[in-house]
Amino acid sequence: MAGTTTSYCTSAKAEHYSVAHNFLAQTTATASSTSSTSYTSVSSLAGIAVGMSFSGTNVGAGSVVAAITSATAFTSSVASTGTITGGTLTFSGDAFKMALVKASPTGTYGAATVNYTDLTGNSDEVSGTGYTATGTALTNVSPVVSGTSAYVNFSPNPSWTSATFTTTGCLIYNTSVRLGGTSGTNTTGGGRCMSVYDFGGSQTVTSGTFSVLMPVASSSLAVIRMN
Amino acid sequence: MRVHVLKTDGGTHSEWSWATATAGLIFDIDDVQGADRMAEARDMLASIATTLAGYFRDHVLLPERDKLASNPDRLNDPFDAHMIAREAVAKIQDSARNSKWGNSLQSQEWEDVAINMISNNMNTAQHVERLWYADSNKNNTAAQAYKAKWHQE
Repeated sequence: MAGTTTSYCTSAKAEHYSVAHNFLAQTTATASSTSSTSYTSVSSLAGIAVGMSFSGTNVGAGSVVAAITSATAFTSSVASTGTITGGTLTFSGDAFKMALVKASPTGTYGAATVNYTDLTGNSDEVSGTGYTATGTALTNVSPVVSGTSAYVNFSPNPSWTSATFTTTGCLIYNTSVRLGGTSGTNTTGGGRCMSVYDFGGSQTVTSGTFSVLMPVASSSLAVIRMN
Repeated sequence: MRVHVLKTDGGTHSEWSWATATAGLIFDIDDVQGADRMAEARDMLASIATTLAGYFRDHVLLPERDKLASNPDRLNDPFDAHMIAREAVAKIQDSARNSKWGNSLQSQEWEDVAINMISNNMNTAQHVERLWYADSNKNNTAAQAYKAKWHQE
């Protein structure tokens, strides 16, 4: 039956074991480099993982952390473009987004949903004033462990302003490409869906504000968690 | 994994919208049994919402609007909602001390959840004000950059 069912996507569960998603929050560190792929004297590597993109003055375009080589050094996929002496680098985890499902969708969205393109393939994404196709960006809050549970969340909550549209649910998906091969109908591997949420019926907003309030980050309530 | 929707036609969310939604998330009365107890629970919920409305108005919405009006370049300034949320929770706990829910609202677990939920919604309230500012100031480069950071294909 067409519609949305609140679910943690089964494909996403499997992808966690393939390191296909990085929820780490944006973080900064200082480091040095001299026109090479080697970065040394890193102030802290806490919260930095292989595969994270990073930027800064004289950092090569498209740089990602290729390997962590010591407690204070890493190598980059791209050489620095000049001398960096104690420069500030900004590291980012994967870029997640939330897309809204239109009223009376033709497709079915739930645990079996694999990719954002499942939504667009059915022409089921919301369209309307104040809504941009692909949805809104989410800001990662780094994973937290509580007891035997691990959970992640996003803050601030996704919001649309000057908005006129009707929606029945939403998808959280990863725009970053970490895993090759196909993902649903997307052959580039991007857009892997994390979870689907039902809004409990059609929700209409007119020339106003629409916010999705995610549950608080706790081991029993967080929006994405493994117990 | 439930999510909640907050929607306002014709403008931004008011302090009462934020307060009522947030109060309902940190003090769930759906499972309260008995008419008398439900009435008391509703009173407590209203009291929590009243406290939160003051904090949303005086510590988030009005200061943010004033700052944007006087210095729109501060669109990306950090905002420490956690401290404000902690203060609001302490006030709620104090006012609930002699109620039926006094003990449960003093628990560390409730306190942690409440602070996280309130601070996240305060961060969102500020974010919404900034998005509306961008909508109303199409010629402001910083405001348009802020909006594009969140809403761009």
